[in-house]
Amino acid sequence: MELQDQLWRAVARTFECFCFLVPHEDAGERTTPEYATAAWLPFARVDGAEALGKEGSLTLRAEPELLQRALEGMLDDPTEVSPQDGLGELANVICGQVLGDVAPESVFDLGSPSALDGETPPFPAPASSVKAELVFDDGVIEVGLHLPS
Amino acid sequence: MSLDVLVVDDSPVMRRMVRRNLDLTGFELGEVREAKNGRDALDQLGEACVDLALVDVNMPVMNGIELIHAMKADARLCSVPVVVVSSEASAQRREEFTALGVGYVRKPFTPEDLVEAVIGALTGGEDGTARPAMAGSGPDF
Repeated sequence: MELQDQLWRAVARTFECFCFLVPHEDAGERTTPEYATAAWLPFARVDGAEALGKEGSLTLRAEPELLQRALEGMLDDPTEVSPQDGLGELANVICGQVLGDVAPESVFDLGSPSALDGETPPFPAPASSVKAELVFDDGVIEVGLHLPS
Repeated sequence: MSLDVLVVDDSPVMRRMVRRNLDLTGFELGEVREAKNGRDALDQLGEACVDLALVDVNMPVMNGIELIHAMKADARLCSVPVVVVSSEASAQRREEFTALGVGYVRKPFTPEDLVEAVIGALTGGEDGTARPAMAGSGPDF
């Protein structure tokens, strides 16, 4: 399975399990997404096979209405957490899932999620990126896996 | 008989999510405590024992593996059933969880996944004795 498909599936499973939201299989025609909240977190391999290199990062950007719906599915009271913290936690879970699927023989340390300015994470500086967009009834979310050279 | 639970995760969002999923499982819950890392968990376990601990792996100060080792080394805590709740999925980690005799549920999980892991931990203790901690006939989906 290609990395882009694995990213797509990791986001889809996370949203289905935690938020009770299912993405459209066919994105269809739509306008350019307007992402209001974005998170990124770095990861580093601490043991095992060198499947993805030593380090990298994952980004997650979401349209506001979709993120609100996701938080309503995740929590009894979605106002208890900020959209940024909620998206960061989703990024954390998706990152762990992708790394486990792509490099099951490796052990990674995941960093803490942070707010992302722009489209690419500041550290570690990525040389290549794979992205996937998922379209839900309430908006679009984009996941990116960024790897150094 | 109700189930007193300790949820150990450095993310307050995830602690709330685990708590919510516990509510959805159908278990009769007693006190549900929260700890932000392994050290905080040990401090809380020093004050009050629980029937079950749900433990993340990657945490600052003291991670989940270190916490489980500390619990296993403590005569008062070694029989507390533990379920690791983590996105960690490497073969190495899974072998480690098995060797430690703890349950495991991978994030993201459904309430059904959590029920299965909790029942496994509650009924698979070292003495093999099921602990009667479920409400009525147990969870019903």
